[in-house]
Amino acid sequence: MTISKELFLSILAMDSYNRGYNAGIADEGQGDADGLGRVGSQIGNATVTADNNTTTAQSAGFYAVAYTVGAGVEGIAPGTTIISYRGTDGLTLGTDPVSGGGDILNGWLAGAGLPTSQTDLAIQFYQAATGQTVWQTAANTTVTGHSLGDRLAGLQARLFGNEAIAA
Amino acid sequence: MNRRTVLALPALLALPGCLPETHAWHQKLTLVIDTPSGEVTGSSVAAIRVNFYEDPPPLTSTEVEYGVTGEATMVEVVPGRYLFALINTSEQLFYAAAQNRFGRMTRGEWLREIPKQTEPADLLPGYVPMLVTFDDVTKPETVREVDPADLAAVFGAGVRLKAATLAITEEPVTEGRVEGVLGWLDEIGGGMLDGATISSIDAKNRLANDLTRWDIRRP
Repeated sequence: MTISKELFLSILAMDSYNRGYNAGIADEGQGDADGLGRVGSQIGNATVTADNNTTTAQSAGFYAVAYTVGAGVEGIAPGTTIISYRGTDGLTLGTDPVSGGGDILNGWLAGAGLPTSQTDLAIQFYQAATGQTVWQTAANTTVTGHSLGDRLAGLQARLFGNEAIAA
Repeated sequence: MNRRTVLALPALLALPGCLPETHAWHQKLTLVIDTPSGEVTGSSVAAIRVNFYEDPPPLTSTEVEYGVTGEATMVEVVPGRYLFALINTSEQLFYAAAQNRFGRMTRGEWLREIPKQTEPADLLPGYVPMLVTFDDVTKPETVREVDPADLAAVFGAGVRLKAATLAITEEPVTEGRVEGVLGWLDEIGGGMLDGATISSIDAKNRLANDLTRWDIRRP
């Protein structure tokens, strides 16, 4: 059974909310710290190959995850790298002592054309996950995201020339 | 985001249903370990803070946010060899360990009940926080996981985890113990324990590439 490219990328766009710190889905049975799992875990036929769970990212309210896709997705070749950027999940201004870095100052201001900590981290993650510099287009790479994550994905697509699919 | 959205946001956040219900408590984790030369123990107190939204705020689906302050529970199992129980699963640990007390309560209900608990909860296998040790305590990249059911594999024959308990307490948050042993905690910056800026499936030591200093001590 195959799955459409658009549906699969939408699923991965939402999946970034459910892994790493402050994951939207938690296993309350054992106090799970990372939701659905981090590097090495799977969703469908995609394997999580990288994420950014650093304290620097947490302080900025940023999270991103990279996958390598297997067979079974229409329009996506096996072996393709997909990068998903988490969107808004913290509406505090600055850094809240409970929820960590908020998305308004750290992310939304990018919509006004201003560089933010999240845009810097998004670029750094793309480069680290693909091994490419800002002047190169990584082969077989697609970026996706939802909400603020969609904007960060769009920025990477403009910078690196890859395809971006918004959820 | 247009100007109308910017202006409307503070008003939306000010709606009563959008403001979080806050909870806070201190919890003390104690490890008791049998060794050939006798019993050794270690404990630490962490502060848990919670924002709970009965109605998630606009533009997010956030129901709950947790914050933790504290440090790993540390035990010198044998001279010079330390065991650490990480704090990265502290947020919901009391609920997980004492679920039978809360029955079919909703999250909002059991969050209100936790600070009132006076009986410690025994942490059964599967609920003990991740245990780690360092082959060389001066090198964060040498971290490795310890199986709570097989401490002997790391610390030698006759060493076993006898008990792990979690209690709600009014004791102050533990500070300053782990950095006395892990002197590099303040020097490794915002990346992972192996120095990397992301976690990668190709990392030489996956655990060192998955953990940060905040898993050991959360300011």
